[in-house]
Amino acid sequence: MRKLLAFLFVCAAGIGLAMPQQTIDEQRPAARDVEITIENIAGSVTVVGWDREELQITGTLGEGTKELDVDGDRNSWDIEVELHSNRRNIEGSNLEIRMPRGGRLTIETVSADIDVSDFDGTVELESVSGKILVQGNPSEVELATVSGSIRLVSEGAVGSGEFQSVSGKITLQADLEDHGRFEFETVSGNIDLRIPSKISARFDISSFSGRITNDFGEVAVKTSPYLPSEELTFSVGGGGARVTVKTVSGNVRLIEE
Amino acid sequence: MSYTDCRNWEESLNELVDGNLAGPERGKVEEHLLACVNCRRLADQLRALKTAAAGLPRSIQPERDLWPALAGVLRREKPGPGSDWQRRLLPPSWLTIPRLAAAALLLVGLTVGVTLRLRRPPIPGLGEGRQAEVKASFRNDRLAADYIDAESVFLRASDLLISVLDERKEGLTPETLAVVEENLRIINRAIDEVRSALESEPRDHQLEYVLTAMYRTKVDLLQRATRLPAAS
Repeated sequence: MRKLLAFLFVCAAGIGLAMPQQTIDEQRPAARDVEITIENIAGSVTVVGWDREELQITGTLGEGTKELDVDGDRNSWDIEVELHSNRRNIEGSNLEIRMPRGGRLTIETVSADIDVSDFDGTVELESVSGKILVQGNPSEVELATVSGSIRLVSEGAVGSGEFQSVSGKITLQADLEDHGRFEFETVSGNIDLRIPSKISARFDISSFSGRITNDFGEVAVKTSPYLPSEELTFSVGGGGARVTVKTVSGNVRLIEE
Repeated sequence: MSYTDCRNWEESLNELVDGNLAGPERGKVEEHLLACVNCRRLADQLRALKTAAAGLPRSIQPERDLWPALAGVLRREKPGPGSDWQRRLLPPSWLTIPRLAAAALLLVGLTVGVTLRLRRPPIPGLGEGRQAEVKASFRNDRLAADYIDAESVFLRASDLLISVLDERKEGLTPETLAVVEENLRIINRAIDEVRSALESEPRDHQLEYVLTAMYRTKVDLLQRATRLPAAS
């Protein structure tokens, strides 16, 4: 009898763990400057800013996930895809979130891609191998990956930003606010800065063994006769924004748009 | 801004971080910081280290394994003029042994968010040949000792973090580990290249500065790798 009970328990647990995809559709009140933190290991996280004072969470939880935990109040919400502790192979969960566009957003993933658009607030996004794409006019960004690519595309000016990868490519396609600070750092990833010709910025770019190319005219110089290192320091348009770029072997391209 | 230029600002940066500058002198340094990424990074590191050290209890004892590498640095509470790497990393005015020991540990290990368990015996510092090269390149033995200490600390910090990473390997995907390992190889190749250049030009202190920057990049990458979220 004891064996039978144990067998039934194992079966029940197995059924519980093998739950199929679950659909999510939840709403919460949210202040205009709400702080949202999202954790999702695999799948995707899509965030779109809107003008409503409301947080909307839709999407699907992949097989192997335990539940979606949503905790907080109208000023701050933590959203986490929780996993069963004994599952290693999980199916990705896809979260689609709408939140006030001027809020503060933090997302952490492992392989899940992150896509943020129509957003004016502060974003701090980190992924290991997922791709990060930000569109809109964020006031401040901190974007970091290991191997995933980072791309920030804005039709307006971005306030300030830190971009960091290990091998992932970093692309910025935006205007830079006059007094903003922008720091780019990678080991082997390439960095493309696509910036308007009318920009006002000072650039400090260095690479140990990567190549630096510049549409704005100034040419990178070797820093030592014994090393392949290059540095490029120059200003355009009065030098308002401060842009620093560092790579070990990644190439850097300054492209005039 | 070249690394050589930056070295002329190190003392002022320490004074700024210690809050000892005012008026036009302070304005001059702050203006330089706006224009110089290397000095800005150094100032940030000094501030972070100072903040970390200020919050630490005075009674913290360092792990025995790191002590030999740190001891040479920490035994000198007031570094003399010219001990450039110490001033770069460790501002003298708060250079008390327990705080610094704890801060150095914090810098290289405690921020990774895991318990450090040192299983391996202490690694040796620099080889005798390299020590002789460094000593020959400096004006006096004390500066040479400082530099050897600096390189030893980075070597040990790297080793420490690799130990931590070893223990976390199962939590990371093979792809992520491969990326980290490949990029560590890239940094190691750069370090080898600079060291090789130093063999040709042992008196080129700019090369030493680049070497230190590369070690710092390696420690940064290892720290980051040990903090990565687990894949399951």
